[in-house]
Amino acid sequence: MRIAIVMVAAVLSSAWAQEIKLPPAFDKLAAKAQETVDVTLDSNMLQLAGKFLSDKDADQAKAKQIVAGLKGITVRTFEFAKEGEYSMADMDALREQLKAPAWSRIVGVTSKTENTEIYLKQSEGSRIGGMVIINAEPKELTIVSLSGTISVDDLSALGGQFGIPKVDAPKSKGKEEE
Amino acid sequence: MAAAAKVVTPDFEVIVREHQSMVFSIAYHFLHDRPAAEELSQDVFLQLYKSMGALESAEHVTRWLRRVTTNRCIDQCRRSKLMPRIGLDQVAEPAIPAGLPDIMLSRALSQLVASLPANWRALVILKYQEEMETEEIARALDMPVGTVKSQLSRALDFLREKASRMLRETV
Amino acid sequence: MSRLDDALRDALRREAPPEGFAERVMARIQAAPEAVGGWAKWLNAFRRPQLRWATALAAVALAVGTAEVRSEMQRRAEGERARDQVMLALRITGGKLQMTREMVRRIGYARREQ
Repeated sequence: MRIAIVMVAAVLSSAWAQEIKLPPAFDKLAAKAQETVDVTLDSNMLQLAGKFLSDKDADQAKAKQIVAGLKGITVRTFEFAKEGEYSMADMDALREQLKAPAWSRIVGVTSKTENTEIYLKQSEGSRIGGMVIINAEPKELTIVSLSGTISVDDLSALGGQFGIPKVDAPKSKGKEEE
Repeated sequence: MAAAAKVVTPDFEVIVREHQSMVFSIAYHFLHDRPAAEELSQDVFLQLYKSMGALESAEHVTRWLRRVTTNRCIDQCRRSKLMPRIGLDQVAEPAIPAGLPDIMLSRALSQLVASLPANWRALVILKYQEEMETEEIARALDMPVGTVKSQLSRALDFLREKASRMLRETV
Repeated sequence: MSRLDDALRDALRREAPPEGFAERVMARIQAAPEAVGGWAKWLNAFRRPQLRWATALAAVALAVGTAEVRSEMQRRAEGERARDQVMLALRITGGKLQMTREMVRRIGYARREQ
């Protein structure tokens, strides 16, 4: 399996960028998909959700903490019955928006079966002003967009919580994580 | 002067008994697990109890129940979406010989329906259990009518292919 | 009407829930005081005959109160749905981040092995 990694250093910028908008092409993808997840929550709905997230449940308590800084969450997942139902060009309009100075592509991982890009929007200090994930598999396409303030700790928690089993990598021989 | 309050005194238990088969059956045909279907159905009625003030008529209650039950079933499927599951092309035909008695055919088809992706499952159940028209299904699931028609058609093609031996139909 | 249509109608016919289902639902409602919201409390009280007269006399004032209670019920239903959607969205996000992290780790490990 040939795997390429592209790591791009974050670029500091104080330029204001508009919130990311999902291109109209995604509506056509929904019509082709056999299963779709469609979550769109603006700041009002997030505030309302925050009032119903329980402090007694560990996952919900963490979610409440993350949501407190967010202005919006958008998730679209399309599952298709067969390969070839979408093309990377369908995401061009989205990538164009992510070329704005405030955004940096910090991860690009490509393999035979999967292509994942993660973009972060710089905010003050060590905080992140937004995140976009584009994950493309042969029969599934997922776009995640979080806007608002996320701390690096919250980001780390997202990758190891919420009922998702932590997958342990094979132990390295003393080298730190890349 | 404000109008008099609408005075409604439904006996909630009567409402539960009237709709329990519908709600339980949607959940059971979706999840194919009786305890899970009962738990989900109870949650739906608990939610209905809290929401009764917002419902205007008996017909509204029926539509609300179908919609909420189906959405809860779909959400439950999606919550387990990160668990390993098989793809459509790996769904095996039930190992049942052709010309089998109707009850076995029913069970086999019921299993096949429960193996469909969540959206397709919802469409098939609402069409065949609840005998809903396409437009009604589209409103219940908040989907365009065209999408309901195309997805239902694909779901039925899939079921027909998998069940063809059982039904002695030409694919 | 094809045989598949008939077979599906037969396979997906409604079934009765397990014995005692309605009783268990009512028991849950009774046991969960927070489930008995303003509207439902009012309905239960209305069953007592002596309160019916008091309710009739208070009908005009209740019209305004009822609208507020309905609004609260709707808000609660909306809030719970928003909460469920937040959890779903964060699970999907977390899953994709975890998968990406794992891929990066595997690549790093594979390279160190070379």
